[in-house]
Amino acid sequence: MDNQLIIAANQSREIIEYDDDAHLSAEPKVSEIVLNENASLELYVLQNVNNEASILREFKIKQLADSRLKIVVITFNGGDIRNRYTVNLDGEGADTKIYGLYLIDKTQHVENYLKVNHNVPRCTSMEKFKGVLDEEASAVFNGHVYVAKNAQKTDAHQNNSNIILTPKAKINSQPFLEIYADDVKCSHGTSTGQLDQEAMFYMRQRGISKANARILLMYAFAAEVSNHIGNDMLHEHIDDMIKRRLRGELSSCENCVLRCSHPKDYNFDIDYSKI
Amino acid sequence: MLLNIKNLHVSIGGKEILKGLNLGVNEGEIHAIMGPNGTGKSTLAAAITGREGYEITEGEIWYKGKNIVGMSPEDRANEGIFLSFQYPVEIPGVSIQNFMRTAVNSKREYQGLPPMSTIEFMKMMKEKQAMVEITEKLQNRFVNVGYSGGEKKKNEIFQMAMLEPSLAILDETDSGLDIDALRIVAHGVNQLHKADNAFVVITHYQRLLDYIVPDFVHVMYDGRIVKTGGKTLALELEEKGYEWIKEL
Repeated sequence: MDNQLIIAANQSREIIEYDDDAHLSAEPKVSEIVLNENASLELYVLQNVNNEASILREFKIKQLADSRLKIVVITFNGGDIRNRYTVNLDGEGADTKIYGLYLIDKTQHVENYLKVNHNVPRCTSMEKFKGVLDEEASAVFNGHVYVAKNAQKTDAHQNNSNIILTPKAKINSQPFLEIYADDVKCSHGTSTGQLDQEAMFYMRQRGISKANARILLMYAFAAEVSNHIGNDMLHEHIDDMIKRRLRGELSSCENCVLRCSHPKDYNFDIDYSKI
Repeated sequence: MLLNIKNLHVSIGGKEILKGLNLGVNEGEIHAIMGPNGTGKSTLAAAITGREGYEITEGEIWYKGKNIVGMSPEDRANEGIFLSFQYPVEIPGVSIQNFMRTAVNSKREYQGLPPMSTIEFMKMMKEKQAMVEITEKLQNRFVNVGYSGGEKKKNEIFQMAMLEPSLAILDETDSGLDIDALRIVAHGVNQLHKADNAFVVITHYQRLLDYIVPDFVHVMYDGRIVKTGGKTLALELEEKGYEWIKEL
């Protein structure tokens, strides 16, 4: 199930991939992606499989000068999901952005491994992963940014933040920077917490039910990732799915990632253009 | 009587803060609650609004003929109790517009009414914002995020105007306000004050009461109301300080 994708110089592509098979055997899928000079790729990956299914997904990416890559991976549901991203920034001025969101519950498990290699000067990279973990769900974030000795003027940032809703949910978060150049701007961070209780009371004092207040807070948190979806129709669709997922309505329909859309009137409505 | 608090005892983490407080508020009245720091003024606001962690060990809170002890904070809010927070909470990612729309429609749902139409809602927003001189820019920002102290307090009064409570509690609304913001906030409150609603104004200083004139002034000390008087009591406190009430 491997494939290769080469974007020619100066070309732009947008790709939407969805994994909604109810397969039980974990067959690894590997994509090799090459972005030639000044090429750009937006890749949206949606993962929504049942609680017994696994996904092993790997991306091996090579970027040449001034190429631009954006990946947004949204994980709604799945028994055991492992994503691995390796990015080689081999041409000056290349830019990589990888965003991930996982909304998991029950005993689901999600892992995201990232390795971003700044092999040449003046490249930029940003990884932002956010998760909401309910019940006994668990997740691993392992981000490794490598900056070679000659990769001066590198600008690299990574962040992982999580909301843990129960004492049994677990996150293992390891952002890691390995820097050999001396003129770089790099940062990494991780945070894990519960829903903001002050904000919860503030909303409830305004008459908003506890359940809706929770969803409002979780949605605001998740939207920081989904807002990076540049395709408006997809963005709207994913936001609708996030709301349903947070309401616990999505996991029951396992084979519907891009096929079923039930726009519903919720009694809250976040203006995500302002986020 | 709109609000009738009888012999209220409230503990936080096993420590008793309110020690037998009595307070009666009728519709149409403005009550000021004054007193030194740490006497339980904010605890009283928390107990009336149903905040978790405030344990009512004894006593009753009657509101519109119901003992509301044990009622959820959202139900109390939807019954018309509003708290203007001393420290309004920042909620990143949630715009004030969507926050208020959710709140307004939650109240309507509670009352068995259909959600308000977008046009109607926007019109109401605009009207109520003008009352407290909030610019349109503010409505697109996240709730309280990056607001100045004055903007936060104006935003509280704006929310009050949107939700039209029967009982509004203003917890230290004057703290951190310059004189212009104070005037705007007071003007908003005075416009909202009607014969069928009531205000409980918690304040440390007499200054706010120059603008929001109370019918009654209560002085709290050590978890109880130790003295009640008219608006002149506030002036007396301003002049003499709080030391003398400790002897009461």
